[in-house]
Amino acid sequence: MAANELNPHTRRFFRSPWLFGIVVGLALILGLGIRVYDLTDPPFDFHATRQMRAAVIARGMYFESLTSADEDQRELALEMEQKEAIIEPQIMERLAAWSYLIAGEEHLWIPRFLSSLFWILAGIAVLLLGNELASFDGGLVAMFYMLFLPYSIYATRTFQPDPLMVSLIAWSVWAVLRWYRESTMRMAIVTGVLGGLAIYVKSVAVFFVGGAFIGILLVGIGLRKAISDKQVWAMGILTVLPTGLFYVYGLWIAGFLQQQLNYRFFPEMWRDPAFYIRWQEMATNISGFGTLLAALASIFMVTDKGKRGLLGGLWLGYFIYSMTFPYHTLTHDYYQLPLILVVAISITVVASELLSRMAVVEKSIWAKAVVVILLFAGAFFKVWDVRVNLVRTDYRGDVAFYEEVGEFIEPGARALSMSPAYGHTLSYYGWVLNDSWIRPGDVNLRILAGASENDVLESSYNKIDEYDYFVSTQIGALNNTPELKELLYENYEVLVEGDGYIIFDLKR
Amino acid sequence: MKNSQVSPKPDHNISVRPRGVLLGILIVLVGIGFLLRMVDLKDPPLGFNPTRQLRSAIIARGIYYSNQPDDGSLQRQLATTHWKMMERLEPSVLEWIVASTYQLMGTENVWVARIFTTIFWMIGAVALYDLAQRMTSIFGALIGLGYFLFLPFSILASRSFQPDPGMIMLVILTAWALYRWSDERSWRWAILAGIFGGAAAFVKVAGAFFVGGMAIGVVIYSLGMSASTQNQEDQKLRLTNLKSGLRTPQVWVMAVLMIAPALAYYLAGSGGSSSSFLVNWTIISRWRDVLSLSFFMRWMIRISSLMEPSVVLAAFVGTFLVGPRSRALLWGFWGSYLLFGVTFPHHITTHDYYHLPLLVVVSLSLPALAALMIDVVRQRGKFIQILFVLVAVIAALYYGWIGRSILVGQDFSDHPPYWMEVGEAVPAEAKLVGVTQDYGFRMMYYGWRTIRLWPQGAGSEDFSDRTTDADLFVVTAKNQLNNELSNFLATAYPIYAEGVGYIVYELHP
Repeated sequence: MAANELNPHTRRFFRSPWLFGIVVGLALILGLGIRVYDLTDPPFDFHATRQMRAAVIARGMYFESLTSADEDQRELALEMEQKEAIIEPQIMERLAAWSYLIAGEEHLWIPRFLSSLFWILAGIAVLLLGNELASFDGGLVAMFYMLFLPYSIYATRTFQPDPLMVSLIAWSVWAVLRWYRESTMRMAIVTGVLGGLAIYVKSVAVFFVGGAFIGILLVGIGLRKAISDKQVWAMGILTVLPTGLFYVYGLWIAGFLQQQLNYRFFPEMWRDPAFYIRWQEMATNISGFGTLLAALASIFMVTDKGKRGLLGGLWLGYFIYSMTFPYHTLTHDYYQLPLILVVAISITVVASELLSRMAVVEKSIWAKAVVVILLFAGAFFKVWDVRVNLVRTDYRGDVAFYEEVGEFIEPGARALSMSPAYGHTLSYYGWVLNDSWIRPGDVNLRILAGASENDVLESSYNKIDEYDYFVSTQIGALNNTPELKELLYENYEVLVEGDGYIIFDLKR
Repeated sequence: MKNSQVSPKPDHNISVRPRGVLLGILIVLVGIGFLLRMVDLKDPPLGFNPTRQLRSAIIARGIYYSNQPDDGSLQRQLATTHWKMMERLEPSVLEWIVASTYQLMGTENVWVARIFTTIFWMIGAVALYDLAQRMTSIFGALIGLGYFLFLPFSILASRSFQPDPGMIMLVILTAWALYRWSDERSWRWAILAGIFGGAAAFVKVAGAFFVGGMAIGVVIYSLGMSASTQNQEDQKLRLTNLKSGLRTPQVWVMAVLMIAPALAYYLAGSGGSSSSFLVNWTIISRWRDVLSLSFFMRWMIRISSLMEPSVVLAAFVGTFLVGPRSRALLWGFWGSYLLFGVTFPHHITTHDYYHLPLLVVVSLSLPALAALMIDVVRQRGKFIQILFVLVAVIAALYYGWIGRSILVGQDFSDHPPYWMEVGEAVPAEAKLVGVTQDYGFRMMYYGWRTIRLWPQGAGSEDFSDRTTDADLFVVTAKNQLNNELSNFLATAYPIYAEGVGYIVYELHP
């Protein structure tokens, strides 16, 4: 591990590769260990809608290839899968389906384990890019931040594309920094491929990959030089190509993406001061206010213009990303997952500066011991706290509940549901083909998009007769919708009422 | 500890004009810090540890009324009775100051206490700044000062009516004087360090931990390096230096001044229930707690709820960047906080104001880190420096805004009339027992009634034995009343009075 070439005077705090390797190894083991803890619990603890949706799709893919499956069940699984809109390439779902085939059984913990692995890889990327940006010491601190921030633990053991996307962003940032140092066609291609993959996995990665690439090119190399550089062109084309092709196909050839851009862009929210207040609350609650500040201040500490451009580009990318999706910024906390990466990358600079100064001031083994103890004490505290929360919550009982509800609905019947996770949990565990009754939040979203409340509700009420059953596993929510409740009780028979659920037969 | 430190040097050579600017910045920061704490000044002191604040309010009122001519009034009698009922955990210094102010104002205004504790905090802030800039640099010290003044926890805690803000001020002044003493080794600073340290331990004995920790750190380092200021050659930490240095009378005078006041107070028996507190609530009886992992986890969780743990850890790492003299002081402080937490295992995990010393030591350690960052940024262009300052200003504004929002969001103005209503619902001469908030202090202070607490969680068994000397059973905290006792009271006793949020049963109709 050589001293950083762009910072030749940087003094390594962890000069012993053995000590450094042991610290890194233990951190990675601990980071993976807490993520796989209690992994067989159903994934209701974090954005169940997103995860159960992915589970339904992956099951459809799995049954599609499973020759031994019961034909009715297979058809139902496929129908449920095909009912889900394609909002991005279904990579995680495909990986899960393949893993089910290899395992010979459907295990929801496998894709969650894969997500955890991707995040661990992101941690390694941050360690390496930390060295490109400042030093391995700084990268180590940033890696601890990535692995042990409590939110990152909960959010990166989930069945959704975001951990993979962030991991690929991290690797593409590492690659662009390497390319910036080496200027080789090989690294340009690696950078382009990694950046392209990140954006392909989830298109919002474009803000961060684009921010980092454009930042380092414009500030570090200059526009004129960048335009005339073949490597830059190769990098750019590879970055844009996969997603570009996907969108051309999805929007204009197959058309399945045409509806996916609705309900995402709400510029009118920019005028509302509450948006900014809630945004900063969301960001600071996740990343920590002090750390966020240190990360921002780090931009100003970088000597190299290109690296400063990269950091500035990442932060600008985050800003534009949040402004582009203001509604999701406030309502979907996992939209802040890339922020964790941006903060981690930035704090490599300040951490590196701190540890290199310590390496000069205090050469004794005690200083190293204190830093290692503090890193692990902090990590262990977070890990323990998360572990306690994971132990405290057990959703296994919920599975039996949905299975019980599902037994009342014959296969192939269509249900309208008022059930958590937009009915995906009912689909997945109860095998009930269902569409969700519109939620108050969705009504608001449509009003925000210009629809009238009456029109939205009217179209929902008009659709009731198209279904065979109305299933509510949220009695409180039904009670809070008195018009619907009255309509159901007055016009339809109660098929069954159990502990926590009620099913109306809409055909009688 | 090595001599080869390259700690940031204090900017003592700054020119007059920046000094004026600096003074202006300092005044603005302290001024804003003061004004923030004056927000919603007259709101009753129930937003932060109400039990502790009401206790002080009751004592202050008792002192105030006892100084009034005895007109035989019920109010005077109740005020002094309530005061005497309070456990004497420490000398009532702040309460006496507040009571004297009531005397001058001619009336009881409990918000006066907030002004005093805020002033104490501001004095502490100025001393903290001066000490931090001596240890690191002016701009680093400003960051530490900002953290000390604007952290929401600091805003809420430092205006509370309890001895802690005063103790914190004195602990900081002790640190400052100790640092100056180790620099000059003069009698002036030895005596000042002794007086400040002694006062800190006297105001609240917990101060002894921090004063002691810092004093030990500074004395060992200073004397160990050179026994006297005359012997400045070949400076190296040596035991022989320490041995000869300990013959220095300044050290012993300092020690006596630090120990004597609190020792005299507690040996004289004025400490009252302090000894029982020491036996029941410290490691003496709770040593098993300290052996469990969950104790340290709960400690960390408590810290996390008050300040960001990564900032705390970073601040500690910052102590490696300061010079050895500063490090000796800071490590003494950090070590004493750890010892303090282990000594009071129950309080450190449940009482947020027990972490005020941590806030001080973090604010003193952060400047080293900030100075490092500023050193780097100073090598950049003006534009980047301005952006950096902007980030620091935004941070201070953000913290201040959060603190202000909490103060504005809280409104306890309807609590005193409520408790007055409860108080008026029962006769002054009636003996009350019941389930009520904050050890009955709300009832005493605002309701002007004495109430004995019903044992927590106790049911109706032995009810008549426990209430033989009581006339009325008052319930204002229904959530603390178990269902069995609630049903028993409702069926066995008639309601004497009832209102929104309270019910009074007549025990001997």
